[in-house]
Amino acid sequence: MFGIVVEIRSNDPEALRAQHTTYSELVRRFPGIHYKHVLQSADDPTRFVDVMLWETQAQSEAFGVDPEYQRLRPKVTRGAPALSERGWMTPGYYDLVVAERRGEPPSYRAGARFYETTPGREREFEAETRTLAERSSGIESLTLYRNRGLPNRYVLVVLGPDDGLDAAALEAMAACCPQPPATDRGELVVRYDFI
Amino acid sequence: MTSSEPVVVLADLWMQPGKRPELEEAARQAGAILRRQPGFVAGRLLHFSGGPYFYVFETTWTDRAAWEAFWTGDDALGVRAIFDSWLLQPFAYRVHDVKVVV
Repeated sequence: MFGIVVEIRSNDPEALRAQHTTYSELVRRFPGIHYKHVLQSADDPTRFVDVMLWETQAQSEAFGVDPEYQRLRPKVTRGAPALSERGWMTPGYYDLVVAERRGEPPSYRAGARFYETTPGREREFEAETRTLAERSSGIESLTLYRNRGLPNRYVLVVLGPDDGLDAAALEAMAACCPQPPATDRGELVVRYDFI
Repeated sequence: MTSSEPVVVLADLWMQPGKRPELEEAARQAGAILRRQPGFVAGRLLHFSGGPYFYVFETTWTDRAAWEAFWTGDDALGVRAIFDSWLLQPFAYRVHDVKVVV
């Protein structure tokens, strides 16, 4: 599995939403796409997080150089720098580490947390995330991605209400990191589940 | 004083989105120029695993004088022109002395 996480800043959220709807319709025609979600931060409505899961990196990269996508690309990537304001690579390439999906009703509440662990504590951090997945009730899904080039950087994406997460496990995860995670809580504005 | 030790030269390349095939072809074309240079040992285009846009172009030279001879000549401008068409910004070189080979 191969994940792509893109941090986007847009001063025109409605236009971005419309562009990503068109973009998603194109993505879903490509082999290897599992899902695409776009989260709009409630704390800062000009901030978006776009998450895609592909079967392989090669399938994702085939989409990335597709001529039809190239025509759309100047619109969908407008304002997206190579490094986000937080210093994270965007788009970033990620491996899927933990994937927990439940039979809960679909929820459009969502959250993305960006973690950078203290080097050497990655296994502990991943174990604590598995504990979080086991103990958290009331969420629809929980997915942990690890950056393929910076293996102490992670993105945790949760669909469901924040109060559905186990507080002790979240605290144990934060203890593996020198800084608290950067967090975007908000609503999913574009959601395509292809699985 | 000029060292006779090998040097490794790195260039950080930030690719224009969607130009991966073009950039990789540019590296092959640059390689054809570099292989003609006295003192050129080897070169590699490295793609950062953590995201799509960042590459490092790495070359090894027998010594600093060989690198300097290339860098001050017209072929260096040719290599730059080959890459710059596909980059977000012109690249800068970083020159490293080899201290320990393991």
